[in-house]
Amino acid sequence: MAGVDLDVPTGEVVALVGPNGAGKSTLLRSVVRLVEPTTGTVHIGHADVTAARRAELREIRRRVGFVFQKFHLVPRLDALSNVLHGALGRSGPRGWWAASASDADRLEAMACLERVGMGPFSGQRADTLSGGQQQRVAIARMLMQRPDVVLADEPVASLDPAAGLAVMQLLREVVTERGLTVVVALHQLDFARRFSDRIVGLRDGRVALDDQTSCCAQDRLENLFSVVGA
Amino acid sequence: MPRRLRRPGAFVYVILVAAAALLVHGWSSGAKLDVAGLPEGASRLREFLVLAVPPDLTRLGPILNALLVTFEMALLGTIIGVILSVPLAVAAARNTSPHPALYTAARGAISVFRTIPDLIWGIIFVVAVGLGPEAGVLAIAADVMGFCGRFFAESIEEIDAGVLDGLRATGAGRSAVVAGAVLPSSLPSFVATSMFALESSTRSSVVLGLVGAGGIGIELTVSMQLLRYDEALTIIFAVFLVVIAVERLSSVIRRKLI
Repeated sequence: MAGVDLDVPTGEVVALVGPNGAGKSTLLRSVVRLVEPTTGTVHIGHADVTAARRAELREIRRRVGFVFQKFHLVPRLDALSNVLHGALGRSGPRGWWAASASDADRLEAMACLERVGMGPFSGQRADTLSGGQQQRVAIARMLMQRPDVVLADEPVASLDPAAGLAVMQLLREVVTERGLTVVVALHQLDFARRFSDRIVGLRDGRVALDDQTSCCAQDRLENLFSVVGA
Repeated sequence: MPRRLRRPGAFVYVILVAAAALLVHGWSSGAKLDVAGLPEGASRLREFLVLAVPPDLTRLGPILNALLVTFEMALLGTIIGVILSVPLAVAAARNTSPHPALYTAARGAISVFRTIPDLIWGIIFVVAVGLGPEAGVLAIAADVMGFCGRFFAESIEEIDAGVLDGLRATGAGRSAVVAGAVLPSSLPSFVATSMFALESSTRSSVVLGLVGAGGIGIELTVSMQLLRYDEALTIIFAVFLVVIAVERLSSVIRRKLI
């Protein structure tokens, strides 16, 4: 990645688009240092992520919800336990297991599950849920984290079109409800146009396009994916 | 077309010559089979069997009691070993180790626990805590840490990296990631490995008595030395039954898990 200079104001929903290998995942992951950036700086609010020490980094990650393409739930645990993991950054040893978690945390986790329509599945193991259901549970885990910022890395790329649309709608609803700042990597341009306030196009590790969604021209978006010289 | 037989390489020759040299040297040092002496050995074995059958059940009570203590020694040693193996394995797994230096240290410790045989651990702990089952418990715990430490670490390394990232991304600390993701993901494999460890500990606990580390082994040595072969046979049968029972139980538990 080189020369990516992005400033996302509070409350904005930014779609990050671009072909495979453009650096969308790397960019999102390096924001919370799941991938260590080699150069450059990242700030979230007043916190300098790149300079943060271990404990500070955990504090920053606590405020940043991450939704992954492959959900990344713990497969052998039930939905409620997975949602409770959202509170791990603040709950202390009692919160490590659903059996020992506080009543307040359990109720909050249940409310998060109900918000994403997964209340009836709270006791079901994550690996027995469909992809769309697992992503809903992952969104509930993200809500449980009570984040200010949400990073979503291709949240619907592993889902069939119908489930993908439903999950995208849900994600947009919950982040708007809570007034969260969002950067979501997508490769479906129609989703990007439909669910974002602003579109940023990446190509070969650089920002190739940065515009408000309302005035982003179709042909410029499609150019982003065109093969050079074709 | 390749030839039917290929001429073996130099390495194969070296191995063959070395093995032959070792066999010749060993033969002259007593590591041999004296075919002429075998019939005599067989007749002594017959003598043993004549004296041993029927087994003497008069001391069955104390023998069963010693056997129970032997199994309890194995159980406690295994539990201690398994519990200590978990943090050791977390440090010795590449994806969860807090620091490369700690990773190397933990790997090294596991190798030491594994390569030193249980009987030698027994001798060492007899020196440390004196004769008796306590030394046996410690020897078994050390042996179990060599076995479980290694296999627990391997099973932790098989966990999908994304699952760990999923928890790290929530701001969870290291212990929380272990408790929330590593333990639940690896639990079935941990339990299966621990059951294997219990089987092998039961067998070690039987022989640990030979070096004075408690359990039925002492009874067996005494009976053999006093030429009470009928009593020795009772002990051997009792040991056989207990080891078989533990193996059955452990395989049932492991099957339930998979």
